[in-house]
Amino acid sequence: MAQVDISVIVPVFNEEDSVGPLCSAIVEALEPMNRSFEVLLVDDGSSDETIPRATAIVAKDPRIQVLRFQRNSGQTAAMSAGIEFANGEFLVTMDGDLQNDPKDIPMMIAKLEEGFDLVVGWRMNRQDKWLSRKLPSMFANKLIGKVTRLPIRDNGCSLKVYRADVIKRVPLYSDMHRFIPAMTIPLGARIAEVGVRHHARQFGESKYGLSRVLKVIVDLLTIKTLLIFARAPLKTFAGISLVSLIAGLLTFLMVQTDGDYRVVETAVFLLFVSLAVFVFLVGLVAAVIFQSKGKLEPPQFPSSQKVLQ
Amino acid sequence: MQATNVHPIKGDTEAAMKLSVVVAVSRNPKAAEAIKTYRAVLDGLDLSYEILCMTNPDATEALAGLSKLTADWPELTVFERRPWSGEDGELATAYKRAKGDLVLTLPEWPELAPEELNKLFDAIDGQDMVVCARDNQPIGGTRQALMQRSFRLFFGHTVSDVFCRVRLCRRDVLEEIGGFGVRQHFIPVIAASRGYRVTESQVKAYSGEVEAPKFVFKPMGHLRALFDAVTLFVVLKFLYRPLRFFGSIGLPIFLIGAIYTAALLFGRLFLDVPLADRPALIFSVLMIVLGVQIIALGLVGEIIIFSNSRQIKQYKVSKIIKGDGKTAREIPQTDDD
Repeated sequence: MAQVDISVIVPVFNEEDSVGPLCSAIVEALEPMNRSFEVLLVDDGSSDETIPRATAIVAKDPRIQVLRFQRNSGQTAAMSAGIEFANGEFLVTMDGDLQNDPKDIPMMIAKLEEGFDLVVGWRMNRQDKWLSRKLPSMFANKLIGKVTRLPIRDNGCSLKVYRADVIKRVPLYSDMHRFIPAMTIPLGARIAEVGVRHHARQFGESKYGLSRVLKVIVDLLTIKTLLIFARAPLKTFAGISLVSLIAGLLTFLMVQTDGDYRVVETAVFLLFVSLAVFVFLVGLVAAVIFQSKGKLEPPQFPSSQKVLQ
Repeated sequence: MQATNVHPIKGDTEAAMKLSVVVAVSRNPKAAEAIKTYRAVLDGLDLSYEILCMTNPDATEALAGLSKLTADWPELTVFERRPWSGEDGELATAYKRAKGDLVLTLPEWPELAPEELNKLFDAIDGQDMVVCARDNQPIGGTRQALMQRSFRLFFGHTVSDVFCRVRLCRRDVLEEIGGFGVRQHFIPVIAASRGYRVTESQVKAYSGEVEAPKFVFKPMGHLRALFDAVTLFVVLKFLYRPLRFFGSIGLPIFLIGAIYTAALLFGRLFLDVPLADRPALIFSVLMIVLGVQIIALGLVGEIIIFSNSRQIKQYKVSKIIKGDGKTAREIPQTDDD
């Protein structure tokens, strides 16, 4: 398909009631911009009437397409597929449950054109339950901000706008769609944050619950670890190896100064040294892996990276 | 591999093959009779089909019967006497050779009334796999319940008739699941846990006399099955997140070791508790070393996934639906994950 200005990517899963109003709302929001656009509905294996209804919409409007997954693969996979298939210069991602308002897209694109690579929405007047949704979200956002040093106010808001050449370089896998801003850190992306509208869910049920809090924390630790090691894998592993070696040497010195032959301390010394060697070798393997994938390792953490609100 | 009778397929070209019927023969000397009972139904389906019948070295008698059957059943191909590593190996090989869009797996003895096969073909529409739930399950009770609980525990899904081997599914589903190793009874739950649509069809069990093999308690066999289930659980759950799996094992070991070591050192330095004649320090440091090693392995795995994430697709687009302002057309996608 020919290049367009804007691609709107919407993962949908059993959203039979939402899909019609959603497409209408997106088209209504984008048409006044007088720019070419496409809407990619990524169906994540819906089992209800989502596909027949979406097909009827597609038949009337060639700007709308449906990517149908063979099976349910999760939201990150749906985002990833949408990003891969999109032809736009600017990519917009949003939820398919009508909680995001497409009317915010023009404002976000205008912000992006001020010179940003990624514009993140934050839900100004969030229409969710406080205890089960808002409170865990507040906690998670604080934690993510502290750990990644990228203080995004609302990581859970799916309404985001990206430059295609930036987002297409971000590795997306597992459940990492929540951490896209953090994943752009190694690329030195310029990020802006803007307030967006939020509506209560009109149809169906939320696919998320409290159980995701633990998942988010574990994912966060993984992301942080990856980002640290991606920056300089051999150096980081060598640092751990050095710590182990120093611990071993200290134990060795204790053996020498005590004079007697100390079995326990010698064994501990050998354990630390073997660990040092092992970790260093693992670091070599990691460095080779990153080296073979050079495009993913521009490990320059720009000190100027910040979030503008 | 030696095929005794390879024939062109009825009517259609190979590319238009609609159905592959797969049968693994190893224990039933009267397998030919059992397979023959399904012929009328298969011929009446109005689908081009092939039957791939895999036999193992023990099935001498069955092979003789099947060879006779091939004489007037051109769709039947019998693969002779290769040691396939059991029934699962036979099926895995057959699935790789299957050319049909749909793959029907049949056991070597009749499990359901032949005409009930039609129900499977009715039910496959909009689904990826249809499994059977027999009205009169010959095997049940404790084993069935145990298997169902295990499946639910490991894979989050189960089926009502765990031991029924008859199932109909789309070939591309098997192509993906085959990568996880084919274990007969796990196939439907693996498919369900991978997000495929698996449905059950209520069918009547075969009413004639059946000499189905008797259950034999094989401790090593059951242990291997359990090991396979655990392995599959790990692969399915942590394939794209190795650090989470290794970290959940390595981090507790590391933390316990670190705390224990700190306590020992504190005792040695401030409380004058001797350490030299105790193996406790070796044990605690060993835990630290082990923990770090496990986490490091997970980290390398995660780095591999991270680095290849743009090549490793976690989805498969089956079709793209586009419109021209009047109609919508579906463009099937054939590229693999």
